[in-house]
Amino acid sequence: MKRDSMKKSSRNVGGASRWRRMRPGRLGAALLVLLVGAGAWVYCLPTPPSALSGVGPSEEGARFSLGQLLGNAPQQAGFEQADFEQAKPGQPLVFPRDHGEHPGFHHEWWYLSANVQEIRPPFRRFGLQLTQFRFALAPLSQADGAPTNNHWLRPQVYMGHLAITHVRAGEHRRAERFSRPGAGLAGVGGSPLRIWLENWTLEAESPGSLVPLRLQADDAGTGIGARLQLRALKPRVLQGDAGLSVKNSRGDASYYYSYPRLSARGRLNWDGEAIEVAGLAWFDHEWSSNSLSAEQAGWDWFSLQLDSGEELMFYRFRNRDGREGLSHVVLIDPQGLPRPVARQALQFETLGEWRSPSGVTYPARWRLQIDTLGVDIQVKPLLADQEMDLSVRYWEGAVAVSGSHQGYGYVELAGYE
Amino acid sequence: MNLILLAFVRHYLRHPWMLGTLLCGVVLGVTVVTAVELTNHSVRANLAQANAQLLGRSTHRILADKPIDEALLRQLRTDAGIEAEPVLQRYLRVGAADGPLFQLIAADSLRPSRAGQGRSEVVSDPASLITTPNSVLIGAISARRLGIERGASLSVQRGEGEVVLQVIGVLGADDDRRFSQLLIMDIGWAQRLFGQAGQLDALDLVLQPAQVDRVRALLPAGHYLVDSQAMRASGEGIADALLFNLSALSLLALLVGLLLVYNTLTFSLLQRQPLFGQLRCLGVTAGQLYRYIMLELLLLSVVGCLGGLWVGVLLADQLLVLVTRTVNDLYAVSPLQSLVLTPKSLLLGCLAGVGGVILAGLLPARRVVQGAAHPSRLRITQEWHARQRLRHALWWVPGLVLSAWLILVWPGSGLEAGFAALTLLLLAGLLVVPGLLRLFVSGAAGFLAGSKRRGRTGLLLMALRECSRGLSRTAIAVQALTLAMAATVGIALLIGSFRLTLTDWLQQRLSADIYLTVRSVVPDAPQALPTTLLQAAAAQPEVQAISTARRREAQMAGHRFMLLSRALPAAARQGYRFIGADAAAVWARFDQPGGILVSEPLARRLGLQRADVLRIDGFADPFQVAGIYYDYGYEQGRAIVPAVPPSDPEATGPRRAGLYLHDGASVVALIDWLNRQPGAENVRVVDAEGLLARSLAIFERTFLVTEVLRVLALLVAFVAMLSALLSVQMERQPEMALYRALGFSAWERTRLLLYQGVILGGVCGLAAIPMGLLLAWGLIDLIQLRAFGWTLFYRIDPLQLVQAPFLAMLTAFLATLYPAWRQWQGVPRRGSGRLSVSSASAAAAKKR
Repeated sequence: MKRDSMKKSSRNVGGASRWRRMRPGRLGAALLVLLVGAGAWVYCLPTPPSALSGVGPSEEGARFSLGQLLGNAPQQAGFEQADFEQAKPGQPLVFPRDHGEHPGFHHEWWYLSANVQEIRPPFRRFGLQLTQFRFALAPLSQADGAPTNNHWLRPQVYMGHLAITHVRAGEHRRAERFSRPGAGLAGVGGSPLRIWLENWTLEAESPGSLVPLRLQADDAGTGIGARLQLRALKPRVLQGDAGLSVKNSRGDASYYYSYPRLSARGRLNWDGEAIEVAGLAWFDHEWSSNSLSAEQAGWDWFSLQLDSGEELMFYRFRNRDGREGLSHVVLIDPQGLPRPVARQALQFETLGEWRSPSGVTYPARWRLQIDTLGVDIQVKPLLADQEMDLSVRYWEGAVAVSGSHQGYGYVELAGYE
Repeated sequence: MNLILLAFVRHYLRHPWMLGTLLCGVVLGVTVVTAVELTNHSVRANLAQANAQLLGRSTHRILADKPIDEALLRQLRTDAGIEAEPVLQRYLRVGAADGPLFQLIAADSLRPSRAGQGRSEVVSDPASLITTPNSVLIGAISARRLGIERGASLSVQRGEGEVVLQVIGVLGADDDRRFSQLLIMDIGWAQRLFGQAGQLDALDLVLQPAQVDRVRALLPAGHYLVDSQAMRASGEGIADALLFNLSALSLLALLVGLLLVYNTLTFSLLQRQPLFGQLRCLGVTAGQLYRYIMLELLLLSVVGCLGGLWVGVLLADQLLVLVTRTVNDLYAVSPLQSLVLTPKSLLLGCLAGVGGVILAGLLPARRVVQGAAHPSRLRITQEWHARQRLRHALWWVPGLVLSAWLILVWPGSGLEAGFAALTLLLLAGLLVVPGLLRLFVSGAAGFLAGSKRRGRTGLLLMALRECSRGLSRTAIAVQALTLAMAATVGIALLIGSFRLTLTDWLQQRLSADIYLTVRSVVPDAPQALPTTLLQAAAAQPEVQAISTARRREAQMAGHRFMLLSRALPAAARQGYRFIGADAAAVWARFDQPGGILVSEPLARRLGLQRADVLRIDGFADPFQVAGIYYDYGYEQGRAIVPAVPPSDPEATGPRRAGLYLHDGASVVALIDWLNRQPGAENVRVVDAEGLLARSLAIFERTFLVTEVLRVLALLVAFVAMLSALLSVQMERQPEMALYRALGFSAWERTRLLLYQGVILGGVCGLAAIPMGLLLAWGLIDLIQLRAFGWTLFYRIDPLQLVQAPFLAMLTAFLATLYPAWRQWQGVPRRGSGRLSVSSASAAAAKKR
């Protein structure tokens, strides 16, 4: 009541409109809003990275780009391709020496793939791939001259890829590792020969020979692992011209040999379950110092083990303009004798495609015909998704062969984007 | 323009000193709070940063008391499938021996994806780091500061001498502090640079919880697993006690500032009460009036805050240098020293200022607005109310003391509780102060009234009574002054006691005649004293005994501390004093297997008692506490175990040795001889006095920051006192006009003012003595003991006690100068205060 009368009197006394116009409340509120706004603005300024922000795990940064190592690493590090050793004619391979590593070359890999089946019901089928890569960060001549036993100072990097395809489960799991030779964490050497990256190993059973070979690899992160004994069912095959495999018109080449048919027996590990398996495996060892030439986009590679006791290996480079580049076809007879086949004799047709979750479209089914040899086969992946979506993205998977011949094999599709 | 606003503005224009006082209070409070908050935040951020650089994103770290064989890395990764990364870590100085300190971290450059990612995620070209000899990456922020280009050669000082590194790239953006004073190198080149082929300083692990025990089981003897999270936490929290102390001091300054604001505001509002009364009569509602006052407060506080923030940032820049040095001296190496201006800290200072002013203004504003409805209310009733309130406040005192006592005896109460209790006690003391003033004044007045020389003391008597009469306007000022003076007295006593305790302790502990230490331009260098030199020294006939010390970091129950293994001859043992135990018994137990001596800070932190059995990570056998010794050297705590016989050739040698000479042997001659020995170029040889002087110099440095804050508090106190007294004096100007009319001469009026100022200042200063003692007791027995675990011995310097009333009276004198000068200016200015109610209304009428 009293307040009301006060209000009235204020109106009467005059200047009522003036009071209205300049209400302290409004001015105060405006000031407060300004203050709070300024505070909020200051608060929202890009915070200087405090000690903890940004130092934590960053999934984006977790990738180590292989491209830096494989693609143009020599150039990037200020080296020329010519600074590394080159694969040239007239330098025959010598074993067991050439089973080991060749650090003078830019890159090298030891590759093993296997198609195996559970030996007991329910006879589940699996594919397995283990590859150890080596990349030189610098030519040997560039390495610091001081003699050292410190393996950290060796300019080499090893990368391992392990994958298992569980056909029935429809699942393909893959794992990747990197390591340098320091502290004996990775390397190739010793007698018997050992190719290892942490606890992924390929180890010869006796000195002086690569086979029989033991494979042992476990990856806790993906829950896959394998312990296999590998015995040669056929002698090794020197690919190309006595092991010199030419890659392009420039004359770039690699040294390349294979063990096209190995018996594989042992255990696979899938989420803690040990599965007894047996089957066939394929081993490759290849080294060179050249990367793809400018016009080359990638390659398709087939290694097919046929029930007839023969193996068909076929690779072709794809040029950026869509045409086929250099290619190579070889049929290895049951005795292990390689019989090169003229490219013209092979009719190659892609029957289907598959688009990966990462957005890459790969060819997915093929027809291969060699009329002169009575071969007319269809090659079909055991599982569409066998993409190796790792530092380098490629497709490497177990395939089944049907048609004039039956069998299994592995296909590698590189350079698709 | 709005009439009311105009009236308010006019008020301040007519009383600029009042505006100045108000702003001064806000600016001072906000300045100190902002500066300390910014400094503390920066120190914490810098410590955390150095830690993050070091630890990356690992979850655990393996450390050992000697270099770790890298076979362990292979074993962990290959056999156990554990994510482990090699680490070498060193401090380097860039350029000359006194150049800036950098942390060099060497890791496997290839694996940014794993444990080491945090520090090398930006390494775009790991290959060059691996292939280029002695190549490093440097934080862009430091590169820019030092003018280092990519591809430049960088000369650095390491423990072993100078070496040249190749800068092949920079880390982070130009302003990215995360890479400040950081060098990244590849593990291989670092091993070669430091002569540690095949050896590592640490292993960084990323472990799942289930893997921890498995890793622990794998570790060889002398290796231990540390939780990085705990390490980070302890690394970041390492200086918490110190920073908390600084924060508390800054809050004290804010409190003094706000008391000052409260006092001036009350005063200014009371002064305008007649104006408010008139406005109410003109029809302004109480609510409107109230809002206008709040608007005034808001404006004042915003202006004050802006000033405070600006000065605060400038001050923080200086404080950071001091605090970082203190942290480096006391705790750990923190190469970073950059001021981190976070909006949060600035906002906090702003909020403290604005919020504090509004809060301080609420109560007087309410009172005045309510009172304004009764313009007839007399000053005498106001005084009566004020006196009532002061009397009622006394009832709070027992409650406050009781609460403080309860908080203190509460089991497990820590540092914060200590501060809370101390605050309550101080508050209780403050409530008593106005009562004390009245008591003193009435006592003195009674004495004077009864004295024979009454005629001469008439003016003094008037001044005394006026003090008591004006309590409604001066009580808060008196309390603010007392608090500020008490703070300076308390802190001065603390520092004095600390210095005394430390000097005594050092003199006892530094009992050897000559000390040998490793000379190194970088901290934590792994060098040891050359064994040959020690053997040669021991063979000298003058040398009676040698004590040696090796030290390493150790961890027990999640707490990191320094573990010393010492060879202690009888002479060295005399330097130790133990808490509540017979020294002979302690040494007897120490010499038996498993004996360990624990420093007081460590014992307090972990609640250790004599004869307790404890386990230290990395040691198979338990230890038994032989005794707890007074120690002021290392706040995180130290423990001493007998020196291990040199059976382990890889163990690092002693880093410090003390030589005890036979009586009559020449110290100077032996020092000279030692300096000429081979291997002595990296050894610093000093006599005990030299070491004592150096230790005390470090102490002075560490307490410099406390001293600075004390001076700041003193400054605030001085300004508070000056402005409070100035307010009181200025208010009396109209009264002075009356005295003038009554025939008082200018000199007599000046004396009246002077007397009153000196009485107020003197009483505050006197009251500050017991309160300062209370504060000193609280700081020593509650705060320091709880924060650092140090028992300090009191040293009460009478000079520091007298300082308070003296300073208070000096300030009072200075505050009287201006009002006194006004007395000599002839005719008093027209109309201020309550004698000129009519003039205010006249002014208002004129405007209309």
